[in-house]
Amino acid sequence: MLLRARMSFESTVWARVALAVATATCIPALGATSVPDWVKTAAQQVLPHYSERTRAVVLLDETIYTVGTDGRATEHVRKVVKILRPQGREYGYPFVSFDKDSKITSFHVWSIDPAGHEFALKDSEMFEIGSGTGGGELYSDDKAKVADPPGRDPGGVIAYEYERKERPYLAETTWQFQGDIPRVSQNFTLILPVGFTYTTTWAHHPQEKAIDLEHQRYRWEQNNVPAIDLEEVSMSPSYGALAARMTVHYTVAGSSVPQQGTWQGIGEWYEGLARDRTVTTPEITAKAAELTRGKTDFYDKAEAIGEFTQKQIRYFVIEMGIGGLQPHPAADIFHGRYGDCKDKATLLNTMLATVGIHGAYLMVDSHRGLIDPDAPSIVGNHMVAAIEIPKGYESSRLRSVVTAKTGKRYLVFDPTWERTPFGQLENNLQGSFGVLMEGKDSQIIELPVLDPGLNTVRRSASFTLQADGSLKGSVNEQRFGDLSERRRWVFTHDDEKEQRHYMDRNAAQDFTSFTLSDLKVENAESLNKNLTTTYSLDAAHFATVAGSLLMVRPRVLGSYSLETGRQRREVPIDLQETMRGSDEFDIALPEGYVVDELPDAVKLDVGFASYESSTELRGKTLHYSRTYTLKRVTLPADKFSALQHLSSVIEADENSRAVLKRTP
Amino acid sequence: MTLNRVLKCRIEVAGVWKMGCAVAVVAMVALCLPGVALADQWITPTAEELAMKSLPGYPGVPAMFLYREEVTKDDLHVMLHYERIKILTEKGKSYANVELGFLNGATNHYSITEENSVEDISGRTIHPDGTVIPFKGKPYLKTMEKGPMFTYQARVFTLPDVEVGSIIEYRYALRYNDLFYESPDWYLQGPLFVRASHYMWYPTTHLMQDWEGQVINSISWFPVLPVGTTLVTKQLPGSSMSEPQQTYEVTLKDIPPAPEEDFMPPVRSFTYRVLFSYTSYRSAAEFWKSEGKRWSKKANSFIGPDNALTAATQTVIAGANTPEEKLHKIYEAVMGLENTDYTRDRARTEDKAAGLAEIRTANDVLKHGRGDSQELSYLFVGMARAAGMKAYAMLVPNRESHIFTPLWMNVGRQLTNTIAIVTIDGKDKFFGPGERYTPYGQLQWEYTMGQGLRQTDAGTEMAISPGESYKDTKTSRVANLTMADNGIVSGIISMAYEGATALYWRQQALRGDEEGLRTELRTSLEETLPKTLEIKVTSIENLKEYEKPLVVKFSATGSIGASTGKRLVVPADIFTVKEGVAFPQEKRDLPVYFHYPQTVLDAVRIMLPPTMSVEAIPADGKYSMQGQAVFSLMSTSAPSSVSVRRTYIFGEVIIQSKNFPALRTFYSQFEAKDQESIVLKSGSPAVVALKTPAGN
Repeated sequence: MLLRARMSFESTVWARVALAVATATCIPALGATSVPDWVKTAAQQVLPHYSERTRAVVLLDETIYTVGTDGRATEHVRKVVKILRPQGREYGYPFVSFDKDSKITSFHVWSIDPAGHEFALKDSEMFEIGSGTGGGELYSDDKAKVADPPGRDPGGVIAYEYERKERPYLAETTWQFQGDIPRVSQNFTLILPVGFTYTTTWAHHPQEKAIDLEHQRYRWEQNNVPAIDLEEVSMSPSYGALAARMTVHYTVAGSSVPQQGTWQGIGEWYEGLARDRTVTTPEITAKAAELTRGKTDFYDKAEAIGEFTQKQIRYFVIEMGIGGLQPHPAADIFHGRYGDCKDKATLLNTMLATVGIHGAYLMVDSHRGLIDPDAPSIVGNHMVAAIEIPKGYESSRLRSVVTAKTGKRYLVFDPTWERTPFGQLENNLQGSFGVLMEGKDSQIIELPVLDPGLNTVRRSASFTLQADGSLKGSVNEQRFGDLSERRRWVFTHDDEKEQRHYMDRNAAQDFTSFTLSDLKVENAESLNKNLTTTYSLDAAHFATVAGSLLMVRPRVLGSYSLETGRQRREVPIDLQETMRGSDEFDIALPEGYVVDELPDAVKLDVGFASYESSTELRGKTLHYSRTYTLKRVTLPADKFSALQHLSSVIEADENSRAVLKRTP
Repeated sequence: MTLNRVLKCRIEVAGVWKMGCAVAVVAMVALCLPGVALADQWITPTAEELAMKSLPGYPGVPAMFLYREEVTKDDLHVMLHYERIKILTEKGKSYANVELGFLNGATNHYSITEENSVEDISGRTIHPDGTVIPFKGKPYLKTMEKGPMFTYQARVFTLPDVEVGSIIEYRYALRYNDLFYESPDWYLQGPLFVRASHYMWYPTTHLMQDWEGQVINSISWFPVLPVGTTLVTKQLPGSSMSEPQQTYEVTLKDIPPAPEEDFMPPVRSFTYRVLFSYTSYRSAAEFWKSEGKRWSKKANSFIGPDNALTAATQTVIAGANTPEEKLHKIYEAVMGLENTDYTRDRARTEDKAAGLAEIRTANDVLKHGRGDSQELSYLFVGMARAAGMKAYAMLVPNRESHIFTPLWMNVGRQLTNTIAIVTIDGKDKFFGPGERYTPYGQLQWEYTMGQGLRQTDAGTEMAISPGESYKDTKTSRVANLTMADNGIVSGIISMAYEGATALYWRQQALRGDEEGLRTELRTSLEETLPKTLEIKVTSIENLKEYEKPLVVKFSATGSIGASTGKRLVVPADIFTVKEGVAFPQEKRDLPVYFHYPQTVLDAVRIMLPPTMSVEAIPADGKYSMQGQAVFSLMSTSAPSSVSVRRTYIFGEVIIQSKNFPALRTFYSQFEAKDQESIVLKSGSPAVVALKTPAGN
């Protein structure tokens, strides 16, 4: 996680932080010695009918969120989970996160096993775990209290209650009331001091009014909320893009945290947080000057600095408390040559400023659809830069361009994504929303979906087929954009053995017995040039003999196969990326064989994608040609049948055979 | 052949050094010793080190160790580390991020709490032009896990301004409690090439005793070293202030990265290393004899049988006449118990709430109705003894990840699993009661062919668990399909699993429920069949009848072939259409390791519509590999049907690298055969309808 936000889902460990709410308007004393009545009451509920796939159910999830007169909040949570299947045991681990700026003041865990025995855990039975080190993260002070209560079996009930003093510098909280298991009874109570006001924003759910409990107490209820089950859903959006949540913003009198539940407020708040981090130093200024020396064009200058922060600043994370949100000073990032996403964006904007180019922060999330334009909040896990394009400046190299309501245009660039060319945007951000942090002009902005022609693979090859079915020839493959990312990584990061292994594994998708030789790779480091791979291929048993027939697959190599799945589709479809693929293969036929039958040409356009292929005989050579274009990154669920049709067309074409017949 | 033979050539003879006399039993004595002044002298990089851009012979490697040093000074309770790394690629920059873990708070047998720390961290980055950027940051202290009895923490830091071509180097000291003396484990080979390294140990000069009060008067070591490298031991003279000092030292040059290949034998535990132990034993033979005796005594005190277990056993075997019959009943009773390794360990409080005492004996396992794998193995042995048979426990390695060697004097890290041996009619039979649903008289594959430690009438001795044949693990895949005029097939697919594959699925079922198993079985089969075929599980038979084949039936419907204008080209064996190439690489360094021998039998029969006829079928094919493996694919056609039978038998577990070309040829032959097709022909326009998916 690059930007820290305490919002998550049941399916992840860190997500088991119950942001739910209490019905009571007063907080009872926390006792830990025996199973409390509220747990027993929840456990005795008669459950609705759930599918056999349901692993566990949240019986009760209550949160009381009390804001103090100093603006600092305390969260009190009660949660009860019933395990329905052995696979549901994983939901029986109470988990409460904290860090250096938040504090767990009480934590109690109870359970009732399937036989009805009741258990209360002692403090000595609790554990504390730190965050892992994956994903480039070096140090984070994120921690969690966890427990392994007895009775975690089907029919068992696990309950916990905690109180946590929240971070002092935030004036918003998010109530996540939908996850990957059903939730029976949930409520969230907000208690504000006199003089405070609040607003709510709702994502993936209609806005609902609070029940006014009087005396600055407000409650929301969400009962019988169904699970979001994506377990066997192919090409699915993320849970976060679907799960309902409510974000509460509260106004703290005299506070410097004016989030106000608007994108503008969030932008202003973040700008305040980051303002002193973009102060340049003589070294930074000198480096920017060195990088742009002799360059007068806006794009050229921005590209030079952008690529410096992309390639020369090592990515990893050091987060402590507010450091999950606030970048490090540009001077530190420049000196150490490392930082996380917001650090890289900070240094980029700082360096750009020294050469007269304005860059702003753009907060995004790597899960497309998670940031909801109608639900202002700081929910988001990534930071990129929005580089202001001079008025009237035009260039075909400007690809990832957004226009703000102010009329200003920005080139969106992610210096953390090491294999995306400057001027473009990685596919997982395309079509999503981001928060442009521009002071009073801060706003939510939709990121562009790039033209398929900016993400391409182009294969061409000439082969000679022998009568025994073996195939020999040479292959040329050109890749650009995200489709070149993996291969660029392999040929710039891996050693020769791993590179060989990668190519062999690729070839093994299409051939059973083969030899690759004369491998040559060009432009692996030059992101704005085609990555070119050429090699010679010698594949035995490529064509199969069946009596007097020789069956040849004109689509010799490469695949655009789609894993659509068969389940009834209820959620939108995430196609991942726009792209264009084109293949041209020539196969010289063996002596003594003639073409008896060729696959029919295919031409399909389903709006969001098109596919064309043809196989023809040119003299004694079989020529196969196809083009596949994907124009959208997401589709509504009702396009699923069209997608399945496209998938079956591609599948059939890729497996089609030309039939050669031995001449008498 | 045991697996050990594969690796024997690389292991030197393990050593034992008898320590000199010393004066104090210090395990409980706190010592006040001055701190160690860490050497702060960095090695000056040579021009060649600064200029190097790659490692000859290892093109593209991300980084290499120029030098590594580890010096353990036991009487000072410190391990001093020095690492020098040359960064060769972008990927290599990740070596600048350093995390040094250490444990605190764990309590040993003497109730002494471990107090470890990583201190005195210093480091620097040197650019290829010689510019030095010292590490001035403060290492962070990170809590990884904290429980009531321990805290696992790490010091983390990153070296500054690292670029490709940089040399990074850092030093640190791992300090441990004054009440501990710790023998080092030197792991000399890892993912990076090491140009030079130096390891040194100054053991304590004090006398110690182990947790059973035995005097520790020796040091043992288990070395796996490159040819020509030796462990150097020296005796430094004492003085009026100190005892004579024994030292151990290894100096290495040009250590290649640890091998890494697909289908690799479990050789990770045999990379270059020297593992030391303080010990009271003078030889490996003495160690295994004595430790075996200790283990066996403890096991027997659990196994019994006590009177209660004997009485319970008599109930279980009632009606059985022969030892074999009795043992079958006992085995069945143990197999009926819950194995908590597949479900969940219960807390002591749970047993208490259920009115159950702590499990201390085999009979307690029976009373609880559950136990872990070892407890269930011990219960089986105990009941067999209670029935009047000679029965023994045996410790074995898990050969998925480890190969045992008696040269390494360590029981717990080598022999991790327990099986049972019962003598029937004068012959030893091996059993795996600790792994639920293992058929009677068989072992889970991980515990086969492994050298381990067994109980005998006289004590313990080394033994080898039996292997299994290709007949023991058999998978039958049968598809009976009927094709309609439009080329769509429907029918039944029946899978029958025996041996290792059956055990795998049965144990998967233990970890979840039937709904989960159905999903897993379906997705597993989907991964082998054409993706246009839709399947559903219709029945699961004999899931708990572990002596019978596990039979799973699926309904199947969909298209399975590619249409041309007048033909339908159908894969000869629908179960292999998604099989990838097992061995794409031509070169092989290590032996190829398969988990178990096995037989796979496929039969596919397609009933054809009257509008279709068979134009061509694959020629019969038979391949074999030096008597170790055979493959055949036979097809037949009739006017209304076409059938394909495929047999794959592989009888070995290890194929030596010199035989890899033959293995690869065998695989290439049958993998190509697997891709052959049946060609169906029809003049009927109905078949042309199958082309509809091709769009337009």
